Amino acid sequence: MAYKILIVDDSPLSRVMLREMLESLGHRVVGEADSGQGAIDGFLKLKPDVMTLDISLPDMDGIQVLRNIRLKMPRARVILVTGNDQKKIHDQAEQLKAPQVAKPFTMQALSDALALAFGSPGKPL
Amino acid sequence: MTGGFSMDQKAVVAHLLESGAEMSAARLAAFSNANCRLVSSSMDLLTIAGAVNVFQADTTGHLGAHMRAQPPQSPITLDCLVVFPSKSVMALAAAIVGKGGSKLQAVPDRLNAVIGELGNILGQGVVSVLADKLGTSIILSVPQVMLGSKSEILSKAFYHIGGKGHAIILSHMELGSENASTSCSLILAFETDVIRRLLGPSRPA
Repeated sequence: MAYKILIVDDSPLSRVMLREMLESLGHRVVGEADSGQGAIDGFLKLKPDVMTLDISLPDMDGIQVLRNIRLKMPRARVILVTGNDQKKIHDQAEQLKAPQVAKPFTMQALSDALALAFGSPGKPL
Repeated sequence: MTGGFSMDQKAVVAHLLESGAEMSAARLAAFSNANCRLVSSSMDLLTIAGAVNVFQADTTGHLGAHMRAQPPQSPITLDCLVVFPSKSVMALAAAIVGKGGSKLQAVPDRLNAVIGELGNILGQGVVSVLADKLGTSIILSVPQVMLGSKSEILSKAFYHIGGKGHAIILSHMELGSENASTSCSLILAFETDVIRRLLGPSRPA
């Protein structure tokens, strides 16, 4: 199944790599943002099926962005893409039911995270 | 040297840094598609003035990626600076961009973006190990790429800190692969009280 995806990352390099991999997997990138506020605005405006979200952003961190979006859209699907491999961040992501992909990411890791984000049929986020 | 740190505390920091550096090298290998490995590393605890002194002897061109963690995103304030010799790291960056195909070639200011990403990968690996050891999360800012001699970059990155009350952890790493190698210096600046409290003798190594 092809998903509409919003990419959020401050690094233009990571955005290019993510777009290339996601499009190779057959998905459609509907937008890109390089800040937390851009992520929130983009998510509400574009209503993607899922968003890839970097943790380190210039104006707020990815966990804050995710919490903010979930307040408005509790079932929003978000994949955290991060260079952090920290237990506390991992725990927060689990609490928020957001799969994680470690940087530098691979196509297989992205594919697995998408499958996790959508879960089994009928399973609520 | 920064006074007051015991040999045990220094050993704890050295061990953590080595674990983080190995994680960073593995990530760097994945990012650069090269068989990158950590060849060697060394660590020292210094004041800022001490670190500037160490760096002053080398006046060649360097590139640095500076990242900062501070409240409210992180419970502690920490500066992380990764400095590479321009010549070797530009060769590595050019190789990475070359492998990335036409889409990567189209990224504006792409070599700087690669330097920032390399610094980010190296810094995040080490900081992640420290964060887990400290039982907290440390979210680094977006990397700022800086150009100059090593001491100029250090002074620029840490100008806001001042000379007192901070510990500088200086780690030198040699990273090598079949096609390219580079050295880098990773500098972490903590408030001394924070590192002393968090790496105190009551915490297991």
